[in-house]
Amino acid sequence: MRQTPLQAGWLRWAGLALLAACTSTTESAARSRKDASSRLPAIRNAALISVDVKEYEVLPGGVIEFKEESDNVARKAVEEVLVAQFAARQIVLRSVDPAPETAEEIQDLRALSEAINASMQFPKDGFDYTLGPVGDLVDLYGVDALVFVWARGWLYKGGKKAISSLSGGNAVDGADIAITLVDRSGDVLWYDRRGRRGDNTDLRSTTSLMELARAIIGDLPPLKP
Amino acid sequence: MRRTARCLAVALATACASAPSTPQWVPARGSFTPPSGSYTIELPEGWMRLAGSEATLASRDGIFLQRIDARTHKLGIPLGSTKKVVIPGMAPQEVADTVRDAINSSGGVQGMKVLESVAADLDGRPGFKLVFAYTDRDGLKMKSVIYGAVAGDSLYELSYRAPGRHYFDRDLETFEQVRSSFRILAPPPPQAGSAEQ
Repeated sequence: MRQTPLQAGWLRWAGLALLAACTSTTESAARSRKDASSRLPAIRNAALISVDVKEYEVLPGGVIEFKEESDNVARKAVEEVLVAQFAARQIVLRSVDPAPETAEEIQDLRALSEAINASMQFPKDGFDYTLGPVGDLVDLYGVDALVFVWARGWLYKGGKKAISSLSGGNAVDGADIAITLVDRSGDVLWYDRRGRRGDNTDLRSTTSLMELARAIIGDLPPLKP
Repeated sequence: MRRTARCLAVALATACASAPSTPQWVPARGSFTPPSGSYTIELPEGWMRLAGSEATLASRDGIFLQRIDARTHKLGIPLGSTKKVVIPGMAPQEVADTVRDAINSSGGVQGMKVLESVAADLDGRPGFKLVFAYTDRDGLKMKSVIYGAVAGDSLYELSYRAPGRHYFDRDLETFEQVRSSFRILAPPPPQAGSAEQ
């Protein structure tokens, strides 16, 4: 059946409206140690020790461009939503500026936490990942635990989204956040990763991120006294 | 940009319905001989091995946290993507130096620091042991041990690498057990007084 220009236009806009409405949070990838529920109650204060945020633009043709200037805004937004959501779980999360004498150790811990993140799909039984003891940092910052955050966002630019919305493709804006929580032993008590997909997803927007952060922190294991 | 390549690739792969198929990992425990039949190796319980490959790659927690590799290189052919070549007749220490230079000139190794470079046997054949530290392209401090020996027309190489923090020391003994099980299935070494060249 041949479409009139009016019908074609309506379909295009309906496709775009559906795309905008179809913002969703991806499934939880949460994993934790067997004894996480009994160790979590001891955590009242945590230091946000590393927030590794990067945002990219995907240009027509699939070219990926790193948006360095957006990192600070995105970092602040990620910190703000996580502080709010951890507070809802009675954990005071605060950002720390690494002291010069600890910068190298924190950089190594960040890289190791991301190596662990990247290993989550490796087929193994159990969950016994660790960063090695971090008691010196826990004491230095006067907290019970350290939190490492990794976040990546991507924004499609150009006409690809409109085409994709009509063809059933998946070229939508998105953001992924992974969180690693370790206590002074360095044991990873809990890890989670979730993403958000859809037109309103932007790492720089607290409005966009709040639902994602709520979903992630909602995945924390229930506390056992 | 380069530092984040692994992370962004993971993110976009997650987002993409058409993500490439995942590698085939199989339980590693027991004896393994690659299709070429050039060596055998006993791999530890609780580790996984990448299937369908001539080279051996095994890990317990994931290849970013520790890995054992076993492979062969034909003599006279450049090592990896470098121009470094091991040629017949090289002394073990010369082979070690060539392997070290090849690693040092590869893109994924920054700030390589040799901790140990000594003569060592591999399956009873004269070879070398090279221990070094470096920082990978994601900024993670790593340590690695390589044992190597020339037999027949090939360099046999057995290596272990892991983050220097926690993981390297934890699984080093396991690696040494794997090394002691390594058997080269190539022509035997020349006997003392033999006319073989």
